[in-house]
This record gives sequence, structure tokens and C-alpha cells, in this order.
Amino acid sequence: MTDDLERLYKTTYAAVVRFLYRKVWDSDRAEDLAQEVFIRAMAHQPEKPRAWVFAVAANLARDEARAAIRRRKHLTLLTNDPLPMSTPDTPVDEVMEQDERKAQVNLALAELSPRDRDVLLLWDAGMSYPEIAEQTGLAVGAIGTTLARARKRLLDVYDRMDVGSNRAARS
Amino acid sequence: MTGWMSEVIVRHVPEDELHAYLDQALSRSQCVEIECHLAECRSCRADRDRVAAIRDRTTALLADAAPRRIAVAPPFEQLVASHRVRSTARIVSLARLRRVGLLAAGLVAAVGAGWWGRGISAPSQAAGPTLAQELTAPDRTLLALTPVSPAGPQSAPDSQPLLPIRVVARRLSVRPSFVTVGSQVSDNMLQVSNLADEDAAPFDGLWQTVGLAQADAETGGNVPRIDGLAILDIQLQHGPGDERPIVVVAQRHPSGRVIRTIEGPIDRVRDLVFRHGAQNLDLHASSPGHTPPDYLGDGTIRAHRGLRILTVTGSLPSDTLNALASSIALRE
Repeated sequence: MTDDLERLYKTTYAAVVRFLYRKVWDSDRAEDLAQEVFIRAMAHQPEKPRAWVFAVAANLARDEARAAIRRRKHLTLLTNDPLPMSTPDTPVDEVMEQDERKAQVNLALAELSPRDRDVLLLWDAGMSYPEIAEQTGLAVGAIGTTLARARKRLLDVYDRMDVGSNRAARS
Repeated sequence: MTGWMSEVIVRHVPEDELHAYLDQALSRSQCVEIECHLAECRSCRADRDRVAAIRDRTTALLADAAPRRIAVAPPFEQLVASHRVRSTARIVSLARLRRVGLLAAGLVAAVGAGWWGRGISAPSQAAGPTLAQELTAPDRTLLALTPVSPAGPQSAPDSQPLLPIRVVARRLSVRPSFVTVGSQVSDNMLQVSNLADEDAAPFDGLWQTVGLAQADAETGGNVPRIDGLAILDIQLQHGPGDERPIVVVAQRHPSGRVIRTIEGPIDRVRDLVFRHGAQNLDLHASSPGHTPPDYLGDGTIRAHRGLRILTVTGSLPSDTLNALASSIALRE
């Protein structure tokens, strides 16, 4: 069982971090939560570890979002958001452009309904339709419909924001 | 036959099925059916290309929203170590709960028995003291209740629970010089619940005693301490490579007890706590808390994270130590 978990950890860790990152938008926190998920998996020894790991990751991300809302009042008084830092390999303007794109995707994802967003992110994390269905409680047949709706909505919102920001940049 | 053919031509592939088809989420027979239809239907082919473009753009957008740094999984052994620390802490707290529960049950039983005994034997004082009276007599209590006495395990009834007895003995200020812990208690639990004697020099190995300024410099201004308490000394031990040192800060609690805050890489803190256990029955450790990790280079541009934890040890109840530990603010 531990071997299975170790294999799952090695193959899925990056996907879990990515999945969490798109929910908490903080890479350090996403990695911490991902490690927490696997530590819990060791204690629980779930029967279907892959589905379990993503279900717990989703729950932890939800708790984290609630805690962040509670913390924010306190923290805004103490710290400012850090400026984007560039590595020697990446020019600053490129980093800023990436950050802007990331922020737009973040906002576009926030426009989706929670269920559509979960389905889209779980699919992007590499889960199969039956696995997504099991986790979200949807019928397997409904996953395609939900994904179709989520993808279209994400692009619509993103394109609208992109047009808006281009217009603002020109004026 | 004609009806079926016309139905096949008229029924275009729905968009959600195209998504599922491109996501390879359909059965082989469904795929074959769709591919046969696509070969015949130009409109559905156009739809497939449109859905494929939507799918590809979504994937690209989500890739843009990935963390900038590539997530490298820390060694699995590190996770196993974290899991062990947590399991041990859970065992200790469960044992403590059990101890308190058994003590409470014992007291209730004693009071109940005393009440009952008084009712039965009230007319004749010659019947002897009540159970409650017996409990207040230290020598009898030890004889009656201590399952493992200093003299050896042969004098102890096997079925008696061991842990609550320590509490009774302590309340009566009679401490056995040595208590053998039964097989139901793991070694780890014994060690964590009984840390090193705080008055002795507790940590062996090469430790450097430093002032606050130097400790601040060595830890990046992150000396783990409880605000408002006097610092008695700060000890550092450097680890390999880029790892930040393990830090032990001794402070005087208002109760007069010395408490030590230990912060460092998870394995080293755990080893330190375990190695110096079993010397003092009164010492406890707080639940561990995560502190900012080390980012350790491996010679490439990638870095992996070394987990670090913090724990507060001292001769104080664990709840107090937990409260003290959670009051510590470390800079991210």
C-alpha cells in the first residue's frame, strides 16, 4: 500500500500542486497543501488513493480560501503583496505579462460556477471522466456537457477581459 | 433500413459528445460510431474542429495559470517522517485523554463507592475506612493501585491500567523511582512525553551558544521565541549544505520553569526530541507546527523544499505548550 502511495505521490504530486495552485494562487501554499494531502493519505490508506487525494485537495483548498478570507483583514495591515520577481533567465516585462495573463485566467475561472470550475480543473489535473464523476457526484454522462460549458465560458470571459484590457491600454 | 440511414445522417454529433470524444472518454464502439458519422458529415467535422480549438485554448490558458516554479516532489521519506511525527503526537494526546478519562472515572467510582459504603456501614464504624478514605492514604493507594511498583512487576496486578496510576501517585506526592511502561505504550510515546531534564545541559553534539544578534543573523531574523519571556540562552547547530541551522531557544516561563523552543529540519527536530526523552517524567512537547521551509539547491536551477517544524518543550501541560507554540510568529 505504501509502495502504491509512493508511486502515486511521484506521479501525481505535480498535478496536485497545479490543481491546488489554481484554487489558492500561491505556489508555496499549494505545495504545502499538496504535502499535507499525501501525509493524510498515509494515515487514511484510502482504497482509491488517486480520487481520494484530489477530493481531499479540493476540501483543503476550500478551507484555505475560508481561512484566507478570515485572515485578510489582519494581514493587509502588516504586509503588502510582494512585487513580481524576475529570475535572471526571464526578463521583467515577460514576467509581468505572465502575471497579468495569470490574473486574467484567475478572474475568468472565478466567473465559472464552482461545479464547472471543479470539473474543469480536475480534468486538467489528468482525471478521467468516471473519476471526476465520482468526486463531484455528477453522472459520467454529464461530465462532457459540464466540460463543454466550462470551457466555453472560460474562453468567453477571458476574451472579454482581454478586449477590455487592450482597449484600456490603447486609450 | 432507409429510416435508420436517414436517422444517422440527420442526427449530428452533440457538442458534449465531441468534447468527450476528443478527451478520449468514450468507449471504442462510440468512437467508431462518431468517426463513421464525421466521415460523412461536413458540418460535424467543422464542429469537431471548433471544439478541438476550444479545448486546446482552454488547455493553454490553464497552463498559463500554472505555478511559475516547477513543483518538485520532496523525497517521499520526508513525508513519511512528517506522518510519523504526527502519528506520535496523536498517540500521546490520545493517551493523555485516556489517562484523564480513567482518572475521572476512578474518582467518580471512588466517590460513588464511598457513598454506597457509608450507607451500608454507617451503623458500624468497625467496618473500616471507605474507599474514598483509602484513596487519601498514600501508602495504601500505592499498594492497592500501582500496577508496577519500583520493587518489580511481580507485585502488580496485570489487568490494571498503568498510566492513570502515575497521575494518582503524583497527586499524592509519592513518586515511584521507576515505572515500567506496559507493552500497550510505544517507545516513541514514552520518549515524547518524557523529554530531557530541563536543568541539565540537554543537547549533545556540537552546539554553539550565541547571542540574540548572532542568532538573528544566522536565521535571517527568525529566531523562534515567545514574546515577553526572558531568553536564557540560544543554541544553534548547523546542518549540511544550505539548510538553516536548528535553533533551540531557552526562556523562563512566568511559572519559573524553563521552556525550550526548538525549530529546525523536521528529521533533526524529531531526532532531538526523541533522543533526549525518557529522563524526566514531567517534561512534555507541544504539537509540532510547520515553519518556513528550506529551499535546497541540488546543483541545478531547481530547488527542493526541506520541511521544518517547531515545537516547544517544558514541564508544563501540553495545552499551555501548544498555546505558547501557536503564539510564536515566524516571518514567511
